[in-house]
Amino acid sequence: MIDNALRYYGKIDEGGIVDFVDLLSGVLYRNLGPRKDIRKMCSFAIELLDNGMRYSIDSRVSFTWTIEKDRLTFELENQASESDALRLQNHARELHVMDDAQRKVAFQEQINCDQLGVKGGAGLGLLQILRKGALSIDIQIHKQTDQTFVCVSRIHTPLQKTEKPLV
Amino acid sequence: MIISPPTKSSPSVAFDEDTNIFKIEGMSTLVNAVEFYDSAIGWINTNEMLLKGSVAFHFHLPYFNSASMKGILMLMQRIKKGIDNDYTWSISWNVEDDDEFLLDAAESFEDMLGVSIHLIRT
Repeated sequence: MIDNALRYYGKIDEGGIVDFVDLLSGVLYRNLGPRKDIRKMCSFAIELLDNGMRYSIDSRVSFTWTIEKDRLTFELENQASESDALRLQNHARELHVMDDAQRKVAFQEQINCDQLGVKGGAGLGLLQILRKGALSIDIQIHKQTDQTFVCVSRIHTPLQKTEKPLV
Repeated sequence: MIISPPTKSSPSVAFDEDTNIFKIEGMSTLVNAVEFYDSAIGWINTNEMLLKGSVAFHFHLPYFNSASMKGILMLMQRIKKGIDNDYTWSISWNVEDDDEFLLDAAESFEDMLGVSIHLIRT
């Protein structure tokens, strides 16, 4: 049963990400009560939206969150170039086969790497999402007739019950 | 002295010469985050004479993207360089509500820098 859901389609920029964080943190607080992992859940949304903002070829995204009983799901859909879409898919595949220790090493190498991606990305977003406890990241890419790709990134994160309410 | 005024998606960067507090405060969801923090490093390099005393670098960043995390690490590495050169500089990190995201970030920075980070719990 869905407790809360939102779907947005439209332009996204740095300030728009802040708007989403304000809304999402408020919604999580009202639905789940005060807890210590609300910022962590919002950070997953920030990373997805950041990817959408950097790589969407028309600056538009479709972004959805769904809060169910024991699970929060984020889904981002954007149109991207072939090279960006394939890089996203390959990156996710690489991360999935790593264990926690390998992800930690990859994170430290990447954050200390002098070079940024061609669009200014640090290459840390998906890595951070997995390191911080997302259950899974599912990436699908679909080729369009105009040679662009639609990328769909879906993240599931568990909503563990808090031991005791924070006051 | 305001080094960089806040925007909706970038923190304010300011140095108070009376209290010797260098403060970075606000949201950081920048696309060009590394460039932003690099300019703060540039200010420190140019104005190092102002920072010869005991300076507290205070980070209060409720939310930041991972590109900002890279920029913040670069800034902290510059602060560490000062500490290694015997400046009495310190780093403090604001944590609201014992939040996991902020505590994990502080721990990661401490781990990568090898410098102690003072947590300010609010």
